[in-house]
Amino acid sequence: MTLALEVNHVSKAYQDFMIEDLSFSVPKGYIMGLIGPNGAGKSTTIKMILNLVKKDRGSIKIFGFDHIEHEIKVRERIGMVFDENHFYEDLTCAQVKKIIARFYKNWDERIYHNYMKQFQLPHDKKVKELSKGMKMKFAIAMALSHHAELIIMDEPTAGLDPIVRSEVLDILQEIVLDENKSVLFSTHITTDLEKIADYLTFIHDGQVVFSEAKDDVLEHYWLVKGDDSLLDQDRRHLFVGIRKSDYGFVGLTRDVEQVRGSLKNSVIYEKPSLEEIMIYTVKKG
Amino acid sequence: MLNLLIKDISIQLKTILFFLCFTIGSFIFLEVNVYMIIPILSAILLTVGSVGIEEKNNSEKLVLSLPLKRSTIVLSKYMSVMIYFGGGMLLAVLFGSLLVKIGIARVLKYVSFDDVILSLMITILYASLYLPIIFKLGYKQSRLYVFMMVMLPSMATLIISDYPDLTKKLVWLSYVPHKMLMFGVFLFLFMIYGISMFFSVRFYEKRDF
Repeated sequence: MTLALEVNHVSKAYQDFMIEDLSFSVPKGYIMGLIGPNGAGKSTTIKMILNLVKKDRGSIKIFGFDHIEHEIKVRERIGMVFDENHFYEDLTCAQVKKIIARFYKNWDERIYHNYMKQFQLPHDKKVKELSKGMKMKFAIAMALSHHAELIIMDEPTAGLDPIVRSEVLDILQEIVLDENKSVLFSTHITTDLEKIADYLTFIHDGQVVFSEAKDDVLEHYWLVKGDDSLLDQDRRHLFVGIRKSDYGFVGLTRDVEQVRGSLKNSVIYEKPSLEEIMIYTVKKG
Repeated sequence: MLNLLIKDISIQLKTILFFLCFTIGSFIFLEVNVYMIIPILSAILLTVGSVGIEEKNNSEKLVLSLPLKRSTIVLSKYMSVMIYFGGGMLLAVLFGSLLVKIGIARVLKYVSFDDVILSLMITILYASLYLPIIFKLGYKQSRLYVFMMVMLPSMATLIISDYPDLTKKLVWLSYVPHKMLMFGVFLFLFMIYGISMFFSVRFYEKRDF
């Protein structure tokens, strides 16, 4: 499988936070969702990929090239969409495009105009006059108009209304119809990823909890519901996270066979959502 | 690098327009050597201004994600200082000559060689000092230092006036041929400019965003 992005054993230490031995990869032609709670290290990871933040250790390869050694070559092939607007607010879309287009060898006016038309964006409106959704669509149009093969998006759907969010997700799915294009998409809105992601990397406290195909994740994890009395110290170890209520306990497990062996049919087994996987993993209990 | 210069000019068209009006106004209303003030101000304010606009719009991340090396971004700022200086000087000379000829300039004086040289020296010195600070700390955090540097000449004058012996000690400079002295001073300033560039590149390459 050809990889668009490889992050290998990357670490970065801050005074109060640390990213430790982070490894994951994005196969070509797929959407990788980077999930995790706020402050988990998703944005820092993306910044390290773009070399906006210097990593302390490890290696990052984009299309097989080191991201720093081949910085310019690699960036020609990346389209970046940030969580908030980074374009010059006082300029019109056309003026911003004119400035940015000069930097890319493969800038394609036809593609740019097609996206502007498809997203119904006005060329002559100032960036500050655009709505949040329009700004996001403009950023996507800018990121896609130079034939980028890896689109990196940092929380692109945060703060968008459900209709625009759904439009953005449709656009992402459209992008990967071209099997040369891959998407790395960070978010804490897990329902977005349930719709579109092929692979998932879950980061928590600066560490990778899992990085695998979404279907495998959803297959491996199970929610187990039962009476409190069934939970002894040995059985607790079978769960990634446990929540208790007046009605009993709910635990998330990655090893359902072992739980079945221990608790048999005295409990209820259910498939969790990505959100539940994230909550139980983070809260532990 | 040219693209970065075009970008910086494109995002500051309003400031440039203001400068145009300010230049004309200065010739008509101010009793100062406009030929020195305009080039220095345009070099400093437009360079710092471009960094300020980037920071205001949060565009630094955008620029840093373009296919560019950080060193290119730094070097383009040093080059833009010279271009803004040249542009400012051209503006001053053009409007100055015109307004003096018409007779509405407050100070009826054409540009002199000394005006160009002195203003260039001051610009190089300022840029050499403030650019590394901006690249190290960013626009917001470096504003205080840049302000302090604007106050530097008046502080230096005060300090020198407290040491009358100092000027006597420097009398030997008047025996050095003018051209040689100019050459020496320029060599010294361009060395400082080069060292400043080196530190700016190092600071910027190490900075996290």
